[in-house]
Amino acid sequence: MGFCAEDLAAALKGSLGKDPVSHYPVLTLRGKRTLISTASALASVDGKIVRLQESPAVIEGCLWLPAEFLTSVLPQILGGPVTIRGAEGKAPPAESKVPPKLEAKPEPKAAQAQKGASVSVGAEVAADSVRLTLAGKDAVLADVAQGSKEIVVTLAQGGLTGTAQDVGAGIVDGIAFNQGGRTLKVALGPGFKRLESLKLSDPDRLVLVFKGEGQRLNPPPPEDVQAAPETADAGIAPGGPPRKTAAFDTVVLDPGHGGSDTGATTAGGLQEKDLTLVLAQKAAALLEKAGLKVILTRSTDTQVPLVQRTAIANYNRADLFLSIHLNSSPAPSARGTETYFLSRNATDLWSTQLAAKENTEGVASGATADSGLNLVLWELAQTSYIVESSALAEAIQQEFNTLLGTTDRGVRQAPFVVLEGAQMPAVLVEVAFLSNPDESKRLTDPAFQDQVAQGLTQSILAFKARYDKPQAPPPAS
Amino acid sequence: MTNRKRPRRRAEAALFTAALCALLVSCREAPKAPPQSAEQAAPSAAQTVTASRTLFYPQADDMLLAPCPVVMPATGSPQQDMAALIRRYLAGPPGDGQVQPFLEHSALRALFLIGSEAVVDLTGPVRAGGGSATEAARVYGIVQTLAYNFPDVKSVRILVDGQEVDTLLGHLDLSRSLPPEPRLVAGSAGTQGDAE
Repeated sequence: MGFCAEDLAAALKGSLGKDPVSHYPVLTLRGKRTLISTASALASVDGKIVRLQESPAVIEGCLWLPAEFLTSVLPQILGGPVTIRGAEGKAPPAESKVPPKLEAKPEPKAAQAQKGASVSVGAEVAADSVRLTLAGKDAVLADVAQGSKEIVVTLAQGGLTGTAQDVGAGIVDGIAFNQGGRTLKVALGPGFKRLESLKLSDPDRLVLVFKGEGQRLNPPPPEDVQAAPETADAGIAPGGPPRKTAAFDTVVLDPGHGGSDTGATTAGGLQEKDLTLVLAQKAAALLEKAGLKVILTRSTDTQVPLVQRTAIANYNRADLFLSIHLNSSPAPSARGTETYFLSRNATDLWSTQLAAKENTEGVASGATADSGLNLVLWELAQTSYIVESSALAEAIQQEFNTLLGTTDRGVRQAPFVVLEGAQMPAVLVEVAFLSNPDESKRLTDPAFQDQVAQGLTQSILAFKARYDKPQAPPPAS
Repeated sequence: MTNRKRPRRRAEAALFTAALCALLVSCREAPKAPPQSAEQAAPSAAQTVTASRTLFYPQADDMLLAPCPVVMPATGSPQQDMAALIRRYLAGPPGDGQVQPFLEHSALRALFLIGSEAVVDLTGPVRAGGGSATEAARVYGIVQTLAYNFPDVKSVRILVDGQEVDTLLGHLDLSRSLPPEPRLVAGSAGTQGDAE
């Protein structure tokens, strides 16, 4: 169940607008501004992040909010528990606290639909759901038949229009329909749990929400990725992103730096960019032997922008992103391995800044329009993987402590550019200190490089084993 | 504009010298008392008003930031005092056990406040070098030092030569304002609000 944010704003004498920086919807109620992510199941109430069970989505001009918005977000806006009464002044059942205005319209109105009117089809993909919207007067009259492997939507008069969309895989593995036809088939994936349908009016539309786990988001390939000379190495297939199963099977390794960006260097001429590439290539070979698909963000001495590295991982729907670096310190004695994952402190503050910025027009000179803030909610999506990223970082750190015998510098958190946009568990490992004479020497030793590659491989395989467990089919009843 | 600044800088330089002489505590020790604001410092006629400050430099072994107490002149203007603090920071740690993350000739170009955000404009070879540890030490050394000594500062934005930069050394995101990161501070000395 859900409802339109516009209706909520109207009911509570608030307003719904668009953030000029991030372009995400902003719901203003009682002086509080709530940013609503349509890319992830998150909202931000005056900078405080609220996690939702499913993502809001824009469907035919309506910002569709899940019903839980009323119980999890609205109390934070209004400063207390929320009681919503029906049109007749009666409190609806607790589990359906939906403004009565938002409930499905009665059939008779839809029944007056013109025969043969076109019905457009659109899809919205989120990690935990796929929403299919059929818009048109005939849509609300459609017959929906659910089978074990597919759901078939049949219109009385035909007229389906739309363009084929790659919705990814997991909950829904595909959508098929013929232009102008009557039937639309939705292939259900292994992650499918249940179907919810919603009939809305003004305009008439049927919303089918396929709920479950593991739908792989399918962001459009960034233009700069396509334009980059490294596209072949980056695994950007000309025919679009690869189809993805729910299994853990794709890893993106990111050799740090490259091209004119040498990274850390030594007086003896060692360059971080060269060594990280060697280590990544060695680890890639081992991981491929173990049956995983491995994509390198670069396989030559080329400079790849940081954001593009993450985009490559997102585009290829990687299950894991690992950025490989070598450390450096003004103190030659510094040694050991550090493993980082994204700092939540920073992302929390950024969301606060974004909310504050909306409240401020024409900030003092010097604080120009902050283009960096426009990805706040997108970047917050990495916070969805904080737990997994933390576990991966711990696994790598532990592996290096034991296998390599390097000094344990621990797992740390910081706002790394290359980790922020990752839509999967993502960590950055600083294998050893190039500035330390002993470690610098070891890093040039092929045997040590093999050990490092083995350590990375073992960590990733251990993480994969952990990741794959929830994917196992339930025991037969 | 430069001419107007010169007398102030000369005066600040003299005050810094006085402050350096007033360094009493080893940098490896945590401050015994919270920093004293300029307002709290008891001024007396013909005496320089000073305030206890804490600089955060990386430890040589683990590169975590550790406190280094100093006594600094205080003007009563937070912006001026912050600028003086960062200039002092860029001069490097006065004691042993901690390292200077910045290269020689790194300097403060400007510092200004926007609400609770301090904008620190650096110049010189601040983007030279490598390693996450060095970059984190440079960035969070400044962030931590400002936020610890001036609790009203909730985040710090770093510019280089007046321009926004994505990163200093290719790792950390500097496109936005950064709050303190206590996990990069040794022990709990860097917890925000300790200074209050």
